Amino acid sequence: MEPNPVLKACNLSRKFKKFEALAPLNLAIAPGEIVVLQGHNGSGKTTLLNCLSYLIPPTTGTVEVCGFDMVEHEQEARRRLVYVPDVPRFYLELTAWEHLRFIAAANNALEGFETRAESLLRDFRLWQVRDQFPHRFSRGMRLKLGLLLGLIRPSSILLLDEPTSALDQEASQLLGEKLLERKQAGQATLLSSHDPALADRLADRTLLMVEGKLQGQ
Amino acid sequence: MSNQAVKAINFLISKQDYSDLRYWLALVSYDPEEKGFSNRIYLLYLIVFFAIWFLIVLVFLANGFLKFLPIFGPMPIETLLSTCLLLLFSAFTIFNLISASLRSPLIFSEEHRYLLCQQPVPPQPLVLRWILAPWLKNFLIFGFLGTLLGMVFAEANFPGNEMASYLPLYIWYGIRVFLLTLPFHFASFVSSWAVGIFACNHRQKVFAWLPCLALIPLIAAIFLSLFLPAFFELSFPVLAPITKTILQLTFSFLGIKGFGFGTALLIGLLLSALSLVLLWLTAKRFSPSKAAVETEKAALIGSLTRYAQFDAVKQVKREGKLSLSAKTSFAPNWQDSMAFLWKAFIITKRSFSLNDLWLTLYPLLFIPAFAFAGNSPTSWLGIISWVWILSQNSLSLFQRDLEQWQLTRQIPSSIQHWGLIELLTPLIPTFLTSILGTVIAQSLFNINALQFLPIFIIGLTAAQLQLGQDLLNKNQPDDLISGSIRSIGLRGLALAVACLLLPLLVHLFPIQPINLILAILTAFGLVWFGLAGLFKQIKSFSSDQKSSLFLF
Repeated sequence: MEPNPVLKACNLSRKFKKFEALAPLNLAIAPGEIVVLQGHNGSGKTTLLNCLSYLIPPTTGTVEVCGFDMVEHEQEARRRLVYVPDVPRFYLELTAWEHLRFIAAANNALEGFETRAESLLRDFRLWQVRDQFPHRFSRGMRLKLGLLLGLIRPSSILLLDEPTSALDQEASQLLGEKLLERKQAGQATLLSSHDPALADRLADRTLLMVEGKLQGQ
Repeated sequence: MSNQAVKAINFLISKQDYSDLRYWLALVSYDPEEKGFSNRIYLLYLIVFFAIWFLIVLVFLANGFLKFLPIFGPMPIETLLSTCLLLLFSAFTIFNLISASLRSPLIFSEEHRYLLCQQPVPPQPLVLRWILAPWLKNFLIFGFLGTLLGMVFAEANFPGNEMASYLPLYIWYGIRVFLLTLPFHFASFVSSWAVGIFACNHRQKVFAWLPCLALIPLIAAIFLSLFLPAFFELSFPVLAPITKTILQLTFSFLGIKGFGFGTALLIGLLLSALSLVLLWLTAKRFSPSKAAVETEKAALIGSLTRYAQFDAVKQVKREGKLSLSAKTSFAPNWQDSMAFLWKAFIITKRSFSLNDLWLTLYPLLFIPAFAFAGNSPTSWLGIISWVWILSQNSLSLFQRDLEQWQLTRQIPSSIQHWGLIELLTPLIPTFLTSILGTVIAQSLFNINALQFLPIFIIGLTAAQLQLGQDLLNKNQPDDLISGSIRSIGLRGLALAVACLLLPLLVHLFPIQPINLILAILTAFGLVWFGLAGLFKQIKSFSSDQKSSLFLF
């Protein structure tokens, strides 16, 4: 018997006025599965991730996270889903450490926060700059902090938009290891990437987006 | 080589000034590149139109100013205007001295930083050529105000009904002050730059600020030497020769007694020449690359302001206020929706400015004034300004959350709770100062302000909910995802004003205390209306359909 999917999208589509950025699609991701989304620039990968996380509401269709509908049971669904965009944005007046603490507190995950945060910051070499404001960071450092905001809180599914686009080799390697650790714990990942080596190393399944249509399921 | 460098500097700055001029001319749809006959006629039309327009504005303002003067008591008009002229001059000089000393007076853009400042350009010709456009911009405001004072003097001298026959003489009173202020303002501006460049050359040293700190009390003393005897009949024998000379000089501006036009002009030209020598000497050690580093932020703000990108200006200023890092001093164990309160505390603490303080303290002045004037259509004008002020600072937390939509939207708290926390928490200081304002009005001035307090508090809540609703309506998820935020619109502002005006209108009902009960009920009704509308807007963020601003 197939395990219940952690992420299930039915008939999901998105139009921007008359332009169909995302054709109706169905998608299911099983616990512990790592799915890599590939496709040319402008093929609709980011739109798909935005719609799955409901940062942009889809034109049609539904999204369920661990059986919770993103509209009907929004809080329960959001507790289990994290999306890290390719260009994360941050509050101007909060330091890197305060961002991590705010996200952990807002997700009711302050227990053991200090240890987890220190470990993640040290692993990704941001410990020395934890009290600095992210707008002073380089692009790679900002992306790392964005990823840490996704990893600091518990989740069943992690959506990552081109997570290695600005990372150095060491950080890319480390991210791969973290995703494999999550896989062992039964947590799923859907990531978009242009890096074929990353897909070969991590992917249980590869999906291809072509002009807003999902192929290779 | 040096000659070539000077030519290159002239070429570059001329291009820059021409581009500046074209920008301003574009505002009146005139293109200097078009050489056609009709375009020249249009230029002539523009010159005539603006000359007449300026004359009318100056006559109108001079007339108003003259009516306003008696509040200073029975004082000879020439003494009063001389003091005003000197006050204007002192204020401009002190302002220019401080701004030139804070950072290099030459403001280099990013392009200058990479192209011009890397070249071995001779600093003295660069400074002398660069100063002309900034001086002219500064002088236009000063000259306008000086001309206005000259026309006030004309207004006082010529009978109103015969003014038309004296028109050329009337205009000459203004032009005389304009012409005489020109060399004096130039000398003051050039000296400020000399002081600023001196400070820039010695930025890390203690004495960098010395000339500025020495000149400010000197200018203040010159002003006081005229102001104190004129306004308070206080005379200091030591300052008497200065007072006499200054009076002679300022009287020449107005065309009475004094040194006369020619002598005053000659003094101004002499001072200008001296200030140019001073600038030439200080500019010898001027380093453009050092100045470029100092003026990076000022250049960015200048360019953003020019294209009316005021939100971006705010962002740059906010970034400038923060240091490189900060320690977390307050970390309570607040979780879920309460985490927003913790974030609000940190953000408010780090971004609080004098402007915020003024906006927060505004009710302390407004409530006693409103209660004193009474609930009438005239006082309602003050309500409009209050709502405008409210919209300036009470929505900042909410706006910041919308800017960080990727983070905010993913937080698994109730989105309704989020909306209420971020919208209503910033009202708490306003409520407190409103209560304090009421206490002040009641106890110190014995005015019955208490009757308005519940209306204001509940009405402000309704107004804030309307403003929040309008902000959500203007910013849909598709825009928020790219981080671009639009400010509140006129429609939202009008509805917010209505949230305070409607209960006040009901309060005019003649039977007491029914009027107060009805007004409070109306205000509560508007809060309900605002809440329902806000929740409807929030709900629309989960669907692709935009909700309308109006509830029904």
